Amino acid sequence: MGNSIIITRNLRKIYKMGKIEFSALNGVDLEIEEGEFVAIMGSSGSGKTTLLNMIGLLDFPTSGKIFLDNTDVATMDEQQCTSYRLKKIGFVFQFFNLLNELTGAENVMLPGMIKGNSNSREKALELLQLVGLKERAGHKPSELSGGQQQRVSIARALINDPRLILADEPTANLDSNSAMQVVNLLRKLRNEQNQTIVMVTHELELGKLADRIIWLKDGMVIKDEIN
Amino acid sequence: MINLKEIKTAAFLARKDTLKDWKIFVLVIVALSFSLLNIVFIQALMSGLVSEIYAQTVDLSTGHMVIEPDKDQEYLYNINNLEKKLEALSGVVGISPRYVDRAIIIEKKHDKKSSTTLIAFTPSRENDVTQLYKKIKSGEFLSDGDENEILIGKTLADDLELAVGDKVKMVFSNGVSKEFRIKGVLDAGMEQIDRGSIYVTTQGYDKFLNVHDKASSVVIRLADINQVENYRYMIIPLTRGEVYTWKTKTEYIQRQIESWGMVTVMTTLIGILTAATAIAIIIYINTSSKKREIAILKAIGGSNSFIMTIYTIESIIFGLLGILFGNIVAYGILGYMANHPLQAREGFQVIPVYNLDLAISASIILFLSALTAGIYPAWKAAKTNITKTIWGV
Ligand SMILES: Nc1ncnc2c1ncn2[C@@H]1O[C@H](COP(=O)(O)OP(=O)(O)OP(=O)(O)O)[C@@H](O)[C@H]1O
Ligand SMILES: [Mg+2]
Repeated sequence: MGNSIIITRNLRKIYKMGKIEFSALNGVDLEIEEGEFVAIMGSSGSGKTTLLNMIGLLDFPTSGKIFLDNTDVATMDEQQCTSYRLKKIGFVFQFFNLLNELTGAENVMLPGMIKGNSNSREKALELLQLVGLKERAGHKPSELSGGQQQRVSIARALINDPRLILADEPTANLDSNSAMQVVNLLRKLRNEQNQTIVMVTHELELGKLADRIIWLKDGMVIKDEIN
Repeated sequence: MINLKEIKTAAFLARKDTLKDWKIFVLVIVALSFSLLNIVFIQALMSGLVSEIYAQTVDLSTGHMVIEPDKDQEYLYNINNLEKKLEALSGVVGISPRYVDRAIIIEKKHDKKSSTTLIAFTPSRENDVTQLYKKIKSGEFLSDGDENEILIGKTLADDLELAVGDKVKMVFSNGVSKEFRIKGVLDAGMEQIDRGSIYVTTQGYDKFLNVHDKASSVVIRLADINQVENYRYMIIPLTRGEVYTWKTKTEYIQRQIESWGMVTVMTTLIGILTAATAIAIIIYINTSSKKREIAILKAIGGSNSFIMTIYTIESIIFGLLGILFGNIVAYGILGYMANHPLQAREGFQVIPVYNLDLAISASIILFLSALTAGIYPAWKAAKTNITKTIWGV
């Protein structure tokens, strides 16, 4: 294969709830190329979020391997994972997940500030312009609409120029018009900056805008199709 | 490790976070202020009580130093000679020989009797050493030439239904009895004086009990009370009697205070625990209500130490403001109490002692407990499982 940024090998995740075990991922093998825009689809409970969490180093597999940039993530300690998340990964969460006490601009610049960039503010304003919210930079999340909040969190995901953007149902709370806007924005980014994008979605219409759709069912890949 | 830029970012978030909800902000500061007050209050009152007891004892009873006869002697002898030697010491500002005896006082109208301590001194000399003369409740203090007058403690006077001007009969240890007029009633605020003592002048006492050139004790006042130990060593060679300082004379009080000391330590410990618990609870509630935000911070790449730093800075902010307002409140309340002292009983006022030492040590204690109490919830918060919190239902 070419330059795979994400590789998973026989990935399994078993959730334990007391004595009951539930197998959420049952051996997932994936390869995602640098610069690809991939949609992950499947019914509720099929393991999409679980998979995204593993790739994003937010949770760890029960067995199997994940390689990010050809590095086995099992060899990374917590600090390295945190640092990788900060520098290489941008998250867009399903439920916006902005900090309420900060303005839009402050939310966007936060990962940049944590990383120690000195130009975070200008960059945050540029990104807000990119997502069409420059004039809303000083507003708190509670003063923004759902779609606007989602676009702020996309801007936040981009502040540190991540190579990988992971978006878990970024359009779930949006009307179809805003949803289309968000996905087109992600596409545009990929086109302009060659970022790798993995997006979970329930809507085929949106999945079709990606390069490729990976279908999950009961914790397994059942279909992997190029659009 | 965490770097300066991260600290700045953490400080930025800590500031945003603490000021987000001003009601909680005020609540935390109030809780901390009262915790500080709690620590300070008992200590200040105890110190006030202790110094008042010492001051009373020194001013009304022992003076700065006391010379008493050796165990096997009834009196100190060659008093005139001793007085001369003491007067020669610079820094000795008052010397008063005293005679202590037992006597029976008889109220004649109803024939009420009471056994009391009889103390004789020369008023002009005594007034150089103690401040008994300030404790006259009614009537007047004795003058040197008063031969037929006595002073009587307030409680004793009440018990015998006596007032200034009344005549009483006194029976002395040698069986002699004599009539006296009550010249003044004392309200000293000390049981020993108010309930159990009658005072006469040496001149009057000498009339029926020869006290020439001897004394039961000599009390001394120095220019500087802190020099008592030095003077003790200077005075020891001058007399065959025992030389005590007010400290050794008040050992019984000290023992009592030591036992309070334990109480004070316990109370302070409880105060600190209360403070720490209050802070811990508030920060804990704060952090658990913000688990989602902590998870976001972690998900976007904030390290555990970064999150710890945020909450540590918050604890520092709270700690410092708690110290500031706590001390202001303490200063206000204790200052008010200093001007309007607690009157334990008449003539006995407790003025709380709130000094820099106490303010500093209480502040340090509060700050450390704020910090400690902040660190555990911060650590808990940093350990929060990201996935459960962000995606969890
Ligand atoms: N922390 C957990 N503990 C126990 N079971 C879990 C946990 N997280 C997920 N699961 C289970 O694992 C399965 C996969 O969950 P996951 O969240 O990955 O599904 P999903 O594909 O994202 O679904 P949805 O489309 O509803 O978001 C589900 O059956 C879910 O109940
Ligand atoms: Mg999901």
